[in-house]
Order: sequence, then structure tokens, then C-alpha cells
Amino acid sequence: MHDTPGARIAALVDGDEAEVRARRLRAFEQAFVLIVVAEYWLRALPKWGMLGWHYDVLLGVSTVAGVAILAAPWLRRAGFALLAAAHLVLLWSEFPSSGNHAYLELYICLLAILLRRDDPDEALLELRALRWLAVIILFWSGVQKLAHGHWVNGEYLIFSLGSETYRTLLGWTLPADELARIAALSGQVGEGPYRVVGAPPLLVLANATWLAEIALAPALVWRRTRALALPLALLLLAGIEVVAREVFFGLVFASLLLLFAHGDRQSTARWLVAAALVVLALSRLGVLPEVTYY
Amino acid sequence: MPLAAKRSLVHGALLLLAVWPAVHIGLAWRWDLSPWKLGGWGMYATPRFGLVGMEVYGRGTPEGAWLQVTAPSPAARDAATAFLEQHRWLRRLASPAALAAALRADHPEWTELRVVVSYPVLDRGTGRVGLASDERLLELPGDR
Repeated sequence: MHDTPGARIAALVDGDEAEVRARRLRAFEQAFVLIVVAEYWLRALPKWGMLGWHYDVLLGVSTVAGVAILAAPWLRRAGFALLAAAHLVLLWSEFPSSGNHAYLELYICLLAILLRRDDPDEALLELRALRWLAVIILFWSGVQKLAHGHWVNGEYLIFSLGSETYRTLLGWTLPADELARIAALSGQVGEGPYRVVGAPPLLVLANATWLAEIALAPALVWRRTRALALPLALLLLAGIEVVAREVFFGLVFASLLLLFAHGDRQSTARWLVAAALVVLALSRLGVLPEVTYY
Repeated sequence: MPLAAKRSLVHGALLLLAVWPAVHIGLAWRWDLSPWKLGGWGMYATPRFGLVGMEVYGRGTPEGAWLQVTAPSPAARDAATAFLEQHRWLRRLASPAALAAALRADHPEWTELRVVVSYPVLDRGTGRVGLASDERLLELPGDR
């Protein structure tokens, strides 16, 4: 698979896990399916009965697809086809307001439909594609923050400090008087400035975020830096998730990142993902204290 | 499908996915597209505002006075809601065609439509919340 320039570039993300490739892909797909099906259900719970018949159909289709993929390996591609169809309908019906993670989940489904996990060459192709997805997303997330210019002077984070969640976790980065001033703003036209003088920690944090995203992408590709880049990328993701709470995207992306780990980490991660989803479900059902997540 | 074809398909798709965010940034710069959506991976790149306001005017002749729509029909109201939801993310790329068609049905005498959407933005120059606007002048298709 090293005969074309495309294949040579694709192979840059290869690891040394040939003997565990099929097992880790299987565990990745299982975790992924759990996340997607749980996402359909947990988004529906707070609005039960108000989402319309089409969402009920998608909920049913995604559940059947999930059960098929998890319980019957021979139905894997059919299950992913159903899941992809449900996502396509969702993207179409919600266009353009669907979150980016819906596109990511669709790409992953399409890869699983196209490629056979029991064929070593196709499994390798799937693993490479999944790893490149993680690299592309990480890199462009950083570039987008730089390109739109609201992170260089810290404006995005300062604006976000208007929300309680951000304030609780990042309030320490601002002097107390500036934090009180920002907290009093409500984002109305004319308000501001969402800038502060004398807040080096916030500026460092803001710029380190996009810089890390851009730098960690090639660092994941290059084998010599991968062992260091992987925990740093997971740490960065965890930091972002603590404030942003986009947990479904976070879980899918963490699963993608773990594909860069040496050996098979997916088999363990799958159970951690399942446990996290149970906690999220119990929280949404009111059994555990309420946690805000999207 | 042979492996070589699958490989070409996957590599081609990855190339497209790798290039699309650059196009996305270009669209955002040129048409004010939101970085938050459409797979450009620009979540959290800009603050997200919910408030959007819209005024719609129509007139029957190029020299006539603009008349503001103040009591739209249910169909026009639905079309306006859908347009605003699209506009929230697509900004200047959002199509007002359905809204124009609904208003054309309400006001068959109108030949021109002016749609003004106002929305908050965080001004990079001042660091303050400002108001941007997107004004569209539309000629309504006539059947006269």
C-alpha cells in the first residue's frame, strides 16, 4: 500500500500495531456506536414527545442499527448504512444548524460501510483514514481560531466568561475587578470592551489553545513525537470539554485520538466510554445530580 | 469494489476534508458564514450570538415608497423564521427565495422587496459588541 503518493502520505500515520489492528478497530467502532446511539436518546430525553415523528423514526433506526452492529458482526456494514442514513436525514432536516460532530460521525459511518474490518488491507486503510480525520480536525480547529482573530487577544475567552461555567473554571485568569466587570456584561449591542489589560494568564491560555491544536496535529503524525503529542492532545481535549461540555463530540474525538496510542487502548477505552454514557444518562434521568452537557 | 478503488476513494475524500476548512474560512471572510457549522471545525472560533432582527419592506414601483411588513401571514411568518434560522449560520449565503415567494403571495402588487437582517458581532477592532447588517434588494418575479 505504499505505491502511490497518496498511499505514502496516508501511511505517515501508521503505527506498529498490525497484530491488534482488527481488535482495536472493532473496539473503536463499538465505542463509536454506543456514543452515537446514546446521543440520539439523550438528546431526545429532555424534549420527549416534542421532537416530532421523524425524530422518533431516527431514534428507532439508530437503535436498531446500534444493536445490529454490536450484537451481530455480520450485520456490521448494514448497521452502519442504517446509522449513516439516519444521520443524513438528520443533517438534511436540520441544515445548516447541525453540529460539526454530526458530519464527523457520518464520515466514520461511511468508512465502516466501505471497508471490511476482516480484510487486513482494508482495516489498515480504515485505521489510517480515522487517524487522519483526527489530525485534520485538530489542525483546522486551531487555524480557525487564529483565522477569525478572537483568540489572539483573548476576546473569545473573555466573552465566554459571561457564562457561569467558564467563570467558575477560568475566573482565576482575570484580575477580580475585571472579572466583575465582564460578569456584569450581557452581550448586548454596544457592550464591552471584551478586552482586559494585565491578564497574562488568560492571554497565555487563549494563545496556547490554538497553538497547541495546530502543533499537536503534525506531532501526532510524526512517530517520534507521537508518544508525547497523544497525552497532550487528550489533555487539551479534556480541558476544552470541561468548559464546553460537548461531550458526544469529545468522546468520539477522544476515541479517534486513542487510535494513535501504542498497542490496543480501545478495548479498555470502550468500557470507559460506556461508563461515561451511563453516568450521562443517569444524570439526565435525574438519578444522579444534573450535569449540563450538549 | 477493488481495494485500489476503495483506496482512491478514501484518499480523495480525505483530501477534500483537508481542503474544505480552508474554503470554509474563505466563505466566512467573504460571506460572513459562521465558523461553528458545516464541518469547517471552527467551533469556538467566534462568540455565538442568538439575537437576530429582521425588517422587511416591499413596494410596487421602483419610485414608490417602501412599505414595511408589520403583520405577515402565517406562511410568511414561517418563511421568515426559517430564513432567520438559516441566516444565523449561513449569513449572506442564506437564500431569501422562500420568504420572497411567501410575501409575493401576500402582496401580489409588490415588485421589489428589501430584507434587512441585523445581528450582533464582536468587533475585533474595538472588542465591543457591534451590530452588523445584511441588506438584500430583491426583484419579485411578476406574472403580470
